[in-house]
Amino acid sequence: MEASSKRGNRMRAYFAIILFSLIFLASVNVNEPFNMTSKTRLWLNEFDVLADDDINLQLWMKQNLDDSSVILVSWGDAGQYIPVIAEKEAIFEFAGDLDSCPLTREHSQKYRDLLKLLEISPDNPIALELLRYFNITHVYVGAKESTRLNSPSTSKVNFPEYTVLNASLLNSARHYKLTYRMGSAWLFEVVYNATVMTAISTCDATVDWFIKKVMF
Amino acid sequence: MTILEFLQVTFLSIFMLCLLGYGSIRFFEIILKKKLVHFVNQFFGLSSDFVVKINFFLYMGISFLLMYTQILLMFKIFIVPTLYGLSILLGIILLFDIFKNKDKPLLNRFALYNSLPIMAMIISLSLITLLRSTIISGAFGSTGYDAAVHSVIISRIIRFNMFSPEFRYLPGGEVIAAFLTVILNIPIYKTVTLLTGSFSVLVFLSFYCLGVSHTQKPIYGYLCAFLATLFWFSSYHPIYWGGLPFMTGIYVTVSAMAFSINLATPPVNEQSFHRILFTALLLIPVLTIYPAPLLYILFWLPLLVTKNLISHPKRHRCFKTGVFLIFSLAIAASLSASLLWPIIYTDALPILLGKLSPPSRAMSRGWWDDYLISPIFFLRITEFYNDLNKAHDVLGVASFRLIPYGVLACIVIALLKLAQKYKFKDSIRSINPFLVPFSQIGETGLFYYAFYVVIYLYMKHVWIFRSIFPPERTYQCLGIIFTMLEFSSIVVIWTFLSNVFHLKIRIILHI
Repeated sequence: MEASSKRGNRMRAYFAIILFSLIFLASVNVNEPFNMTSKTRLWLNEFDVLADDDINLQLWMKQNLDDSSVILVSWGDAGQYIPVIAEKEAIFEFAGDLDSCPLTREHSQKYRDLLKLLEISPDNPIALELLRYFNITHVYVGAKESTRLNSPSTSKVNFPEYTVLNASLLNSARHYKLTYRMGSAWLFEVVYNATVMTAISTCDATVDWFIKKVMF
Repeated sequence: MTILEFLQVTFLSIFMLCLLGYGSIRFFEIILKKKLVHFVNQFFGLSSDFVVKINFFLYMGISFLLMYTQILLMFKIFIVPTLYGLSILLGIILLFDIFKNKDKPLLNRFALYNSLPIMAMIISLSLITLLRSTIISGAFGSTGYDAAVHSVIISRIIRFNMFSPEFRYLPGGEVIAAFLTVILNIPIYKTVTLLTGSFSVLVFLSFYCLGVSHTQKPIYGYLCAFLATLFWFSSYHPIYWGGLPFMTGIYVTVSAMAFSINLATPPVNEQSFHRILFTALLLIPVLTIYPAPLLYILFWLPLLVTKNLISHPKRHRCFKTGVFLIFSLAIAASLSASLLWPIIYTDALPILLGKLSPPSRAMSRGWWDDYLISPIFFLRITEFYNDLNKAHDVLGVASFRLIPYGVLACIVIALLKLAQKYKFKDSIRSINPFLVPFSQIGETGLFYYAFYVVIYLYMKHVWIFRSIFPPERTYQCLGIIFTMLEFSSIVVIWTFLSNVFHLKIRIILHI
């Protein structure tokens, strides 16, 4: 008697579980998970900045660049992996610390100013002054840097402060020499010659005013 | 990255961390000449379930690893070379136990009747790994921003044997990643994505343990795990950027909840030392991996202690338990002091809550939408509420999006009450595993609700806070206020549910 009651109760429980499942399955659009997966994949691809070209170039950098090299990387570029893969010093802004850490605030502002200038006119003396300020020897442009302009999550419409370095522009500029290119990933060396140094010294005093009042 | 790599890393991580946990406990058994494994079974209320034991050793592996790293950091000994030696030593202990030891402390429960849940677990873990890895197979995953930061932290631990407090982050997750990177020989740039995937799979294991520890039945463990994985994360939830510490933290929080079932019971005097030691080992990962401290120490532990105060009439024993807990917490904190350094060095709350810059803000909004609205089950209900949302401000949007979860929780509880009406004997027990993932959804959902409100919506607008607190502290102060509000809202929700369904609070709290 007790065994049959136990079996009956168990059957009711199973029935309740099946009913419960059916109620939910009825409300599920079967295509939805697949749509969601492709949507998610697309969304994730927007933040997938690392490419095989970047890894190969950074492995080349590990072997061929001097340990004292300092490489400039734009915000969110694959160059953020230079300390990990190439094991060289890189300058880039991590997500986060700008607002709350007064020590890094000034440096971060200069970094942002520098990127803004490099985006428009890489040969600008103020840009060169800021490059010297950070002791930068090389500028890195990742394989997916150019495509990030079109990405909705990283576009300039949503983020006016966002900067994207243009490899072709840097390649045609006078003070940047192409060191190595691996597919779509580029590495430029900054050329500080005597003419540049004179230009820098004359505009030193006006740098801060120029950046704050005119350019931005 | 390929699906095979994901599978490999998931199962090898489980194996290596289990080896670390099991080997360390056996190592201490040999040194102390005392049976610790037997005590562990009693104290942590581990059932004869082999999967639960595997998860326990995995958890203890994490704990020992953090403690080990802390000691090496303290004496400035280079970590990497010692990891190989440590693994070989622990491997020898395991092999000795398998082939020579007659007691077989790990394998004595590995009987045929246990093989079905084990096989089911292997299949479940493989399936979830497949589902998660399909999203990013063939690419490097979300490697920008946060993932790059975590890679640099891991790289510094491996290359320079140091953790910089400027990163303002609890480094527990990165220490585990550094260990697995070295032992499994994975390139660092792949580690973050691969381990984010693996630990999101391990969350299934932790929920299984939570279910089994409350009911002692594997079937409820699976129900609980599937509910949590499908509803909470959903199978298709992305392995999003910088998720390594978060996923590790969720795994640690839920597992700690499962193993701390006997934590607040009055202590047995003759086992006091072991009790404090193992409670401290349980608390080390909780203290050092974000966001575990917030979820466990702020929510779960106070509930556990409160329940103990209510249910045990002899108050002095409860007082004793409280003293034991404080001792254990102090020992755990001292055993992981180096890893807690960022909290001492900077302010606690930005580390506990994380910190996002303006460009990350928009991404987290998208993530919030995907995360809170599980695509499979809540789609239809949320469509209705999405229309309602348009008429409200953004704060209203967030609160309305919590409603589907409440509706679903009510349906489940009502269904189970129905089963109870028909004198289904295990109805009370069956409520527990169902409530566990739901209460987790509530806790985490509300945690992010508060987080979202504080950081993104009110930070710039609540001028009164800005005038009272210094600008640098506004973030932290608002965080504290809203965390308190969140905690009280959880209590209100639970009380409401208990009154509506005439269940006792202790059942609702599934303790």
